Amino acid sequence: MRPPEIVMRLDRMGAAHPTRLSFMRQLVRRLHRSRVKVAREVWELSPEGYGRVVYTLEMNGFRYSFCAFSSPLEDSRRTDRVIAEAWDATFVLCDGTVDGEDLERLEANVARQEAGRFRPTELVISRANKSMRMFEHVVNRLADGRQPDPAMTRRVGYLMRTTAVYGNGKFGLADRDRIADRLALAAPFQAELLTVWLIRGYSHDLVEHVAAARNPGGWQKLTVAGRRSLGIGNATGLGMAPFLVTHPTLIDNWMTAREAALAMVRSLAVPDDQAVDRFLALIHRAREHVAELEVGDRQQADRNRLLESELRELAGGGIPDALGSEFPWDAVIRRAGEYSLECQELMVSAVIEPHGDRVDRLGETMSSDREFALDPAMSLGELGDVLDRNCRWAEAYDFDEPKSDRRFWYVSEEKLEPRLGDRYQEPGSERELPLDIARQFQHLRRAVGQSDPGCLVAELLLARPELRTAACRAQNAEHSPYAEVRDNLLGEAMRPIDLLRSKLAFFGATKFDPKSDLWTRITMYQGAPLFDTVGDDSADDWAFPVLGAG
Amino acid sequence: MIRLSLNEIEVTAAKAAMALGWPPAVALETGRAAVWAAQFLSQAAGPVIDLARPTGEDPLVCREADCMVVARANPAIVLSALDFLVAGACSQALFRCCEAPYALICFGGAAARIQGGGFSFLQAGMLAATAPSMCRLPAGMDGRPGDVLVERTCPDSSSPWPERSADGAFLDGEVWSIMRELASKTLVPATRRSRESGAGAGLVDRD
Repeated sequence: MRPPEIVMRLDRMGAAHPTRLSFMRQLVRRLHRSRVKVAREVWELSPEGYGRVVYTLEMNGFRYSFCAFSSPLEDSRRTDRVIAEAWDATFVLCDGTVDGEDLERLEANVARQEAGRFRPTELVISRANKSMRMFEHVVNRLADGRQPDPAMTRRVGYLMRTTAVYGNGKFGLADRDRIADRLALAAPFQAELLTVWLIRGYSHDLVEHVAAARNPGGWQKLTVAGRRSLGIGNATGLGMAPFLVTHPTLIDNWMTAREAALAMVRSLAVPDDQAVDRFLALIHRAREHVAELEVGDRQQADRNRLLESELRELAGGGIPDALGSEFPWDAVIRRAGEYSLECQELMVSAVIEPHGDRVDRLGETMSSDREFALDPAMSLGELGDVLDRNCRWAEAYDFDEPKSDRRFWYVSEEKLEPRLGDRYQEPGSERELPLDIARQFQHLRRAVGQSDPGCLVAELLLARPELRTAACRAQNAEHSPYAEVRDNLLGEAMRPIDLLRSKLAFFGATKFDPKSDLWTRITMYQGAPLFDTVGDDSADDWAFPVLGAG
Repeated sequence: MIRLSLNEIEVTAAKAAMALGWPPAVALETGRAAVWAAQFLSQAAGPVIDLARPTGEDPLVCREADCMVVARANPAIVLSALDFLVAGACSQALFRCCEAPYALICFGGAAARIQGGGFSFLQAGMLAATAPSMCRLPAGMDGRPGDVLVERTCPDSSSPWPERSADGAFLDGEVWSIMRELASKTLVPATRRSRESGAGAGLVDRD
């Protein structure tokens, strides 16, 4: 497997692409296998699309209800930030069925989002705003009896953007324990991503409802291909980043699954013809996908342009040559190693893609209910060896230099929004989040070096309880090599966007459209199957989505 | 009593401990102890937070033969004592005049959940026991201050691996308010600069 000193660097994490192990892909495969039927139970909407909707579905013997509430929103209140207090639509995914009384209570609470209170039968809440330019465009086109302009679909790619998705016990919602042993939702973030898939379907139905109301006699439905091309947008900021640091075992599981899948494919001495055909078709599609990307960020746009040309070059020579050699998939990856990180990581995704029969079961290893236990009986001599083997990367930073600790992560009083500050120019660093893992490892190493190697970890922590996190994480790293981001998250050159992209790629997001180093727009489920096509044979074929496919 | 998710209790108690000045890992264990309390010994959630309050006096720790003796316990010392028991570096830990025996039990229960095995707590001749997902409290034990002797107990295969409630837990409303108020002290007041440049999307998104 690729070593953690390669995989866990921020610049490479910031070039990650979704794979078939990404959580949206896993969910859609389960929806497909369950032949899920989504039923509209309630559809009480005004001609403008305001009101309430309930969909239900059943998966592996459990019934779920998805409720959507929409109301008019002034433009001046439409922000994608966490600090927003009103949205075009709000949502809740419930365990079981909801009756009229539930619906009244939910309508009152869900619209308030973070200020609402929820019950343990309620799994996820979310909210979304319309992409005004796209929603209006599609309504107008459909009402005129025409399909949306492909250029608009390419530019935007969705009708609505989610701005937060909350689960796992937030605001009284069900803890993950409620669903962790359900086959359909056991993988990470499945309830949250099911909610997003349902929001996408709702946005399709909603736009048609409004178009039909505008012109009952002459409107047109979206085509299946048109619907598949419309995913769901999302604006993601700093909130996602600390998660990667505070869940080391879980992150190790995610990375290990992907790297194990890659290693498994690279170890194949002889390629399967079908896999080769699929791979070549996929590279062709990936080129189209990259060519269709329109992002405002100059750096990302440059990276995309370079990626497109690199893919063209590889497809013209490097890939056919590599596929003709022994261990062809390994040769493809080695060849891609001569190109940009974007290209290397896209190729990782592409070689894994045709090998679902070999790698999909790794998806079952990506969740973690295990909490790492400190080994207090370890001697400090052993701990020193553990630090040498796993934590040397942390020694690369000089924290006496302001550039090494300029940033500090914190949670703002303002709606608990995570933010990043400048330690030397802004107040609040005394309340920073403990994401300074490199610095903590340095402190631990120094303390261990000054202690009797025969002493126990328990004895060190009795005297220095502040080293407990570092000791625990160092021991964890021995068994979980991908648990730590091997970069300094306080450094002034650190780009939070790299952390975001890594996590979002594991979710299965595409079309990374950074708006700064701090946040990005993405698209989810673009090209994914619909409520009424998820049972089709092609349901799993939506990697590197291109416009009009389906 | 207020119903809360276990995640809310854990995160809020951990933040409360952070606000009281405890290092992150100690705060995290305080959060786990609060969750364990909420599930199995609900009257102990308050004492868990009380234990984390600074007293202005350093704890006293010494070794007497095979026993670690602690006075003026706090969360870090409780965790250390449990570490010593788990490591086999001592066979007993004696907490002298412990102000919050129930809090000890909760830290023990939470540690047992992670480490496996369990702990026994002897106070005034009464024996309480914790394991990953249970607490046996004798009828006469009421959580009043006193000496508490703690020992490690063997892993008990009849005691199942953690079963966290699927429906959250109930917590005293006053204790919850105290936790939230403390936790809020980990938040940084917003400034215009932080609002405009700190995080996320634009302040208005009409596209």
